[in-house]
Amino acid sequence: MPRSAICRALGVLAVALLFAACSSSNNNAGKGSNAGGAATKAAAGGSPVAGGNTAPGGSGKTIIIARQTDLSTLDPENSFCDTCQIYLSAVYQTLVTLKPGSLTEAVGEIARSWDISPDLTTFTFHLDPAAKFANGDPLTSADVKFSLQRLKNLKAGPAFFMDGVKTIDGVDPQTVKFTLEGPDSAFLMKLMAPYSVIVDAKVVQANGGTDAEGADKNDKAKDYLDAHSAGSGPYVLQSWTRNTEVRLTANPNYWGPPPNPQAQTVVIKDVKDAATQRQLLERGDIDVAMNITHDVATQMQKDKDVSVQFVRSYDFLYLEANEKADPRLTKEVRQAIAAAIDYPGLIQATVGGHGIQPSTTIPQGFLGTDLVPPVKTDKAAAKSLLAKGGQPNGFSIKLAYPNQVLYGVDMNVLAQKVAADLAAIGITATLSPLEIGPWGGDYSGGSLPLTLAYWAPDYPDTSEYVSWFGLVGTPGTPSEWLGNVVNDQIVALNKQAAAAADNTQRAQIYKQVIQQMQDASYDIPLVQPDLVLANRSNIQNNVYSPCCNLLLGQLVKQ
Amino acid sequence: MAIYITRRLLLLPVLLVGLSLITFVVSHKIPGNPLVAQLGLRGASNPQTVRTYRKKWGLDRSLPEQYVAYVGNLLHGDFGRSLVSQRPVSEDLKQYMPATIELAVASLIVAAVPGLLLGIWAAVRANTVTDSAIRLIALLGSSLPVFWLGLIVLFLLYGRLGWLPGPGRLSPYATPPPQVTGLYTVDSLLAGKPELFWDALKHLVLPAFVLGWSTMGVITRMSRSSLLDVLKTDYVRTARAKGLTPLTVLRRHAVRNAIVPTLTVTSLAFGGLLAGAVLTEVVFSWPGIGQYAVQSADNLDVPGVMGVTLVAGLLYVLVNLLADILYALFDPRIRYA
Repeated sequence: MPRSAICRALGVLAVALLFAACSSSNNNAGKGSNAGGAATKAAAGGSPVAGGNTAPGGSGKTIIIARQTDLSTLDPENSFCDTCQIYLSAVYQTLVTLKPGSLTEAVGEIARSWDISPDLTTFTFHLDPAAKFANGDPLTSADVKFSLQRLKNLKAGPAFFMDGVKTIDGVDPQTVKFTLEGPDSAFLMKLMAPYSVIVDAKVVQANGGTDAEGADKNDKAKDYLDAHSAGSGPYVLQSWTRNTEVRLTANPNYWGPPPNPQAQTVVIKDVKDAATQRQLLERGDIDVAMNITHDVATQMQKDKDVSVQFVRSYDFLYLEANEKADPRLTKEVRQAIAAAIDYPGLIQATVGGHGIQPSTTIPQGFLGTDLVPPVKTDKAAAKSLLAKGGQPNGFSIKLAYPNQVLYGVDMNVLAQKVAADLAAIGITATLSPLEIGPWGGDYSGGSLPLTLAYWAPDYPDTSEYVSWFGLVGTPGTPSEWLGNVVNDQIVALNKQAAAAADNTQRAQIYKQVIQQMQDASYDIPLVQPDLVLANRSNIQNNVYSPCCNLLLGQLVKQ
Repeated sequence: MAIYITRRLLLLPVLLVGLSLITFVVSHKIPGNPLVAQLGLRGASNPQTVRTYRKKWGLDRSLPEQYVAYVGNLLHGDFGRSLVSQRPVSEDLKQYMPATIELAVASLIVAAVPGLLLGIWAAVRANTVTDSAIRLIALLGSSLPVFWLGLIVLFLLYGRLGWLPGPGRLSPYATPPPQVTGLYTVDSLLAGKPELFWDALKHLVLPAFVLGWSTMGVITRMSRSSLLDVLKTDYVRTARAKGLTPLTVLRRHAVRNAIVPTLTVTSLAFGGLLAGAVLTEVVFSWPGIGQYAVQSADNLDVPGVMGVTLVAGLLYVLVNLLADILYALFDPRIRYA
């Protein structure tokens, strides 16, 4: 065959590829179709945009965020995930929210003020009369009652936020009263969680939603809420393409509180790989990257067009020792394990030093945690405790863990470090990585004698962690699967804390709880990794929020 | 031929039911609790939440009951509801399949056309430097890990040189075209947006190249080997002796007779591409069926896993049927009863 014929064929192919690659189309293909808030059919079968063309304060800019999204639904009362927090806090509002820079103080969002009864069983909120939804509907107590009753009665993942709520009453259109079954000093904090947002009751009901008993069977509004928002927040949902992107536009009727939405459009793009996020950020194709790992972040600090910060997060990883699953794990042995871990070395190995050791399985910085120092590494004491616990020669045990990168920590690296530290005192830990589904089932089934695990705040208060890790006897918590272990002292202290209105007093009570938890050592905190905030240098207010992850309403693009 | 095709199509439902049974049994034998993946640790430990969830999703019924219900729905085209997306699996498949089809077709073009041409060239120039170079290219394509290659080309051609766009099906600022087929290249033309068409096409280049190169290696080697055998036959020698030009000998006699094994390999490769290339999809943030399959498996979403398996099985059968038809077209000696 003549060489020229083959050359011609290959040449045509090469030209076609070059033509496609070097085409003059720019990166803003389609941007014009966004600017007017034009109707874009969502892949989920949605209908036109709820928002309008320009928002008060909207700059016409688009902010692109890359993140490994974990969304399964956008229905506020049905969703329970990290990306959900970001979406819900951008599109909806809660009665109260966390004061910037504080972990304990509440400020009003929809509520202008509130009254709390001295016995902490009645919470009355006075709504801001200016509050309204994106479609212009006024936001009233009926919407609050509907939203939070629906949250309770859907019995989905976040339903537990309404545990202990006896009644919700609309006293008048601007006043709503919650009556609780018992005192709850953390109730305000629960109402800050993005899952406690308020939806437009009329719209949701018109689309099959219900807040009545039996909502778990009868509610049909999920599909609607997956394609439309019904909130009062700074943004509205334009479209959601699963595993691709969530697109928000500025709410034209945003009533406050300030700041007004600072961009016309915000897009959360699903990009699973941290290296890919880095490239997109460095090329300027995205503005914020949310899953940059610590080692990648360190390399990115040299780029002057990119800002990388390490900030304290409230996520942590821990080791759980289950005596019921393995009777050798007595209290002394568990304390030995806690003392054997080289915490500074572990933090260096897993997050390059960008993290801290919590004092217990409560995020360091939450109420009471700064009053108790973390456990110190002491291998000599660890060996002595091991002998006291009846295992002077050590033993072999399986160390299970979810085979993932969690909060920037490669669980394989964490497991290897823990195993190495345990080996130094004679405990041979055989690594057993599991996929998240099987791991979760085994973990909550109580069949794992020793496992690594993880936790992030559902709402920013110590009480959540005490109710989960504090061995207070609640069914479905570690208290149950660790062998129905109940610490009566913690139970009593927890009740005291729930009835204490003053945070200083609560902190002192929680100090005692933390000391008890440290002593029991069922759950040994390992590392609270810093969060990496990575964005282009012209982006401002990319800050971490303990309640909501990232507050899109505050992001500014210069 | 018509009878043959009909017979093959009639066997499809039997195949799919068998596939569904195997997948169903295997999926339920995997240890793990899908509730944790769906509800989170906290939700999955709440007995009331768990009871509600199990009832809602039919998980409180026995396995045979669940399977019978599943097959009953399947016969009506209902793949069930995904535990992850909480919507019909068919909706999920409709969303993710077009992205995979678009990538698979582009990869096949990248693989098949150069693969065949290079294979022919290598066979014609057997045992020369050209042949060695082509075989090296093919070997590299087959042996370089797709994940690694994807990261490298992305780093070089996008990250450093900026010659080609980054991950995703469109540029970050672009709004997808109104969905008709789900293929962005087609839908953008239908919507009258040529700039979106070029954007979508440019975004196809890198992932198609990465996937296509690994497939191209196989096609190159198969077509080379097959053509080498044919070039040694008596009838090809006779054709040359008759004074036909080398191009005519190749075109009329050699390639057509050598094409059948290449078609087999190509159809298998295409079937594999249609089933989803997970690693490539992750690196290039390509929302296709591969990612959906992994997400379903990770979250123990049995309806999702079964939906993907059944669709992949169906596609394999159809692609192989197409290959069989093409055999008959290329080689008149092949006739089906």
